[in-house]
Amino acid sequence: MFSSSPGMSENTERGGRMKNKIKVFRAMNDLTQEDLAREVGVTRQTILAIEKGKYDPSLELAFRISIRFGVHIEEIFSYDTPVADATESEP
Amino acid sequence: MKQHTYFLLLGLIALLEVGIFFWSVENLEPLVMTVAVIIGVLAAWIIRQLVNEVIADERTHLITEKAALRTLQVLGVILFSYALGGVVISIRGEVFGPFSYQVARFSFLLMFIVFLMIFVYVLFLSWYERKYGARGEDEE
Repeated sequence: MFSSSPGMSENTERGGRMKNKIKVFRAMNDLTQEDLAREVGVTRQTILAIEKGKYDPSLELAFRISIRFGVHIEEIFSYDTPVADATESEP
Repeated sequence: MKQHTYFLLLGLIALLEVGIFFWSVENLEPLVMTVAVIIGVLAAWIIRQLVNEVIADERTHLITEKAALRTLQVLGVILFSYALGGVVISIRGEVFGPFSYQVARFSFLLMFIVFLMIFVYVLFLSWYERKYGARGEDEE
């Protein structure tokens, strides 16, 4: 589901794209980017980059963020299945 | 210590280093410059340990890795082309007049450095391949 290593957010080899709801969860928990960054051990710029979809976090960081919000990882992070995959699965 | 203070002190150290560099060149004192560089690096390392904010994380590491690889590729090609050109021109004869010997020597040295760079790169590649790979392990 997630890339095993972090990376600059680009369409993956299969054309999919990572999405996240960090901003929503941050608002729900009344946290600033600075607060979240400090709690999960990264810089504020990294949280900003993830929120803007410019950077895909590592699996470890994704887990740390989801643990901080007390939800399952897939509730925050999702993977947009490319259209090609959807048509492939059709009979 | 705050991150801003760290960068401020780092800038101050850099300014001091530049000042000492010029002073040692003016007064022909290479030892002062060498000692100043070592002390500067140590001071930078010590003040970095005092920072209680996150300065580098996985994203900054990734950016650094990408930038370093691109630098290696670009400089590798430029240095190799320059060295190869120098070697070829020098072998052909007295193209550079009285400086031909120096040009040839410098080009061969540059070529050696480029090959050393490639060798070190392959060593690190192999090291990280072992660290993060699973060569020779069968499927369980």
